[in-house]
Amino acid sequence: MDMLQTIAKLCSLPGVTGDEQAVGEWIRQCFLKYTQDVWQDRYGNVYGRIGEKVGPEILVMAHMDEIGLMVTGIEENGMLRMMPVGGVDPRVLPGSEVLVLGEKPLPGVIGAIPPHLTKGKTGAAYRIEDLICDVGYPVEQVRAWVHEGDYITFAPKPPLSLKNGYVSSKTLDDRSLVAVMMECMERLQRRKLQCSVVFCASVQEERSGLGGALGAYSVHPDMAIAIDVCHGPTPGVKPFETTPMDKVLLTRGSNIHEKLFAMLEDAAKEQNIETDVEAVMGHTGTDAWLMQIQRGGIPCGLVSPPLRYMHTSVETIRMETLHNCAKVLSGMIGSIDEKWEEALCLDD
Amino acid sequence: MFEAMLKKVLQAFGPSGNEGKVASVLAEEIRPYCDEVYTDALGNLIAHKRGTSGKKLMLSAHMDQIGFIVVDIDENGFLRIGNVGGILPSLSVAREVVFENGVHGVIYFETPETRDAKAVASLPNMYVDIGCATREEAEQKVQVGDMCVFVSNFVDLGSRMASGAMDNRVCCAILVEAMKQLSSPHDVYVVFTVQEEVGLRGSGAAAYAIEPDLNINLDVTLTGDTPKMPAMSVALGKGPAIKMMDSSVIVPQCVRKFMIDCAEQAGIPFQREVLRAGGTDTAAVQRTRSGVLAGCISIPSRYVHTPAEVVDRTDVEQAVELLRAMAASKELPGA
Repeated sequence: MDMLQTIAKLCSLPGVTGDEQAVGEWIRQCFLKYTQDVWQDRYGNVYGRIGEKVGPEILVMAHMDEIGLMVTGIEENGMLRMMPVGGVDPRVLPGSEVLVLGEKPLPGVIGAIPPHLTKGKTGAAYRIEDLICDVGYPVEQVRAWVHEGDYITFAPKPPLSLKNGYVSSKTLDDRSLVAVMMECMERLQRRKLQCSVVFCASVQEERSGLGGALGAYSVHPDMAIAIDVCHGPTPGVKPFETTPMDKVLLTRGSNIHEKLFAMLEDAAKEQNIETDVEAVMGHTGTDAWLMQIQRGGIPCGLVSPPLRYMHTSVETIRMETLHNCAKVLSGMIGSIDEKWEEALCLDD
Repeated sequence: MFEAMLKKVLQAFGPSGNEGKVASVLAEEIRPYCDEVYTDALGNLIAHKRGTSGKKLMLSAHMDQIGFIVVDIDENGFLRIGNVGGILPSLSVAREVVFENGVHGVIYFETPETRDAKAVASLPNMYVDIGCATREEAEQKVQVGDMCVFVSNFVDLGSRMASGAMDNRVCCAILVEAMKQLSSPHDVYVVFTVQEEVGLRGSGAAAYAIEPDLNINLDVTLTGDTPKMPAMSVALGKGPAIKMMDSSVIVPQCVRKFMIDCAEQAGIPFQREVLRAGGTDTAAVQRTRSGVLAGCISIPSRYVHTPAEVVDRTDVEQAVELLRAMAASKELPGA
């Protein structure tokens, strides 16, 4: 698998939270290259199972939804009013190219008042209520094709390959980790496993975590590992809030099972992969949060590559770190043997 | 319209966690149209009408209302209160409240220098005056932990009407009315849920037990048709709204399509609702077990969470028709 090509395709497919069909269908096809045991649930989570019917079952989850916008109203001049779907920052919206997914998909732009006309009042950032999306048509045509509730996605473009192995694109959160899941499937295919692994591309992580909750409930795994991005260093952010771009982040805290954390750390050490550890008091802001409390409780782990400029159209990541995430995961899964219950036991 | 029944349902006492009275009113109203009526451990009232398709359709509306809970009674007989659900403190001052046992009171606030309630009223400096002079006298009537709700009149505004607890009793009444002439191939479970106003508590538990193939919930929504409201395309009198998204939930495309198709085929006008702030029971139903398909019909309403919630009679009547059209559909989404 060429990871960059896979990411390029994944990031080009629309899949705003609650509307993941298009990207989900492509992921389903990809999963079928590694296993015939592929299915989807009512809300669109895509699952693929590999491995043996012995030992524990492990759920690995990366979310496939992306942040975006929804049409809330159509103005008399044909311009669209919007509401964020997921954590969209209105400050970075003006100047964005988008695609309005109505009955007829329409390219659009999110405009701003020209600096010449702001009468010097440029200090304050835009609020979402102030912004409009312009698709170029008059109101009659817009009303024929676009309705309240239609999704708006950031315009798909090929990722920008920066130098030094860095890549920049929209939606690397968390499609780059969907690609990591595929690399894991490829790596694990060649190994004799003593466990079963369900890979899940989940829906609606960016809002409610619905996909994580439903996925963990329906699979009912013995352990679950979320893979999701964390923050890379950027100016103005304190070092302890971020992870160096060349390290794989392993999270500890109440959302994370201590022994599962240790198993992941061991797998990294074994392969000389540099890790960083972050302590999170409660909610990790990932699918792990709701997976943990499904059924009778599920031990959860979290593996993250650092990413800069999260929730913008220029999310930036280091390809080698993605490969390292896949190595940590597949190493940990590959090392599972009949002693897995002891390894997870918290009683000692 | 079914005004007499609606008034009865509006007047029934039932803050979140204390829905017994309103549940008994609703049980009496709906019993003639169902095969069985029962209450679950949380207090959800469930009315079941048998079908033949083998599929289960859950129709729901929360029956609880916002209110206050007594947290302390001081030596001079004033009741200190906390909120039950999304109370607007400044709009609660000088309102009449009533307890389940019929004790009445009025709300006021500590007023050292100003009488500008909006500036200073917050729950910690508000109290209920039930006319007692001492703690002992007050405790004869009310205990810490008792709840009270706003007293409100039913106001006939012609094509529109106003009352407290329109959120969400108007939807409870719509469900009762729809059941009167409901024809459905499916097992229909009407659920009047508890504790929606304190965090969507009842509906998920009910859905867990029922395991429906589809849930259509009903609740009120806000409108953008009053002066200086933030842009929102929903207005009174343009038909019931079909929810697309609110801050708690996204209605899946297949459910949206099912609801819109039903409305269009039955010739019922509808609006598409995207609500910026606010949630509803649909969210809790969706995340039940391995996922239940769920959508929501919203009744456009002004001044939500005050004792003067306004709705339009035509929207209400058309919501009844829309419910009947959906229940009559042989095919359900996601099959």
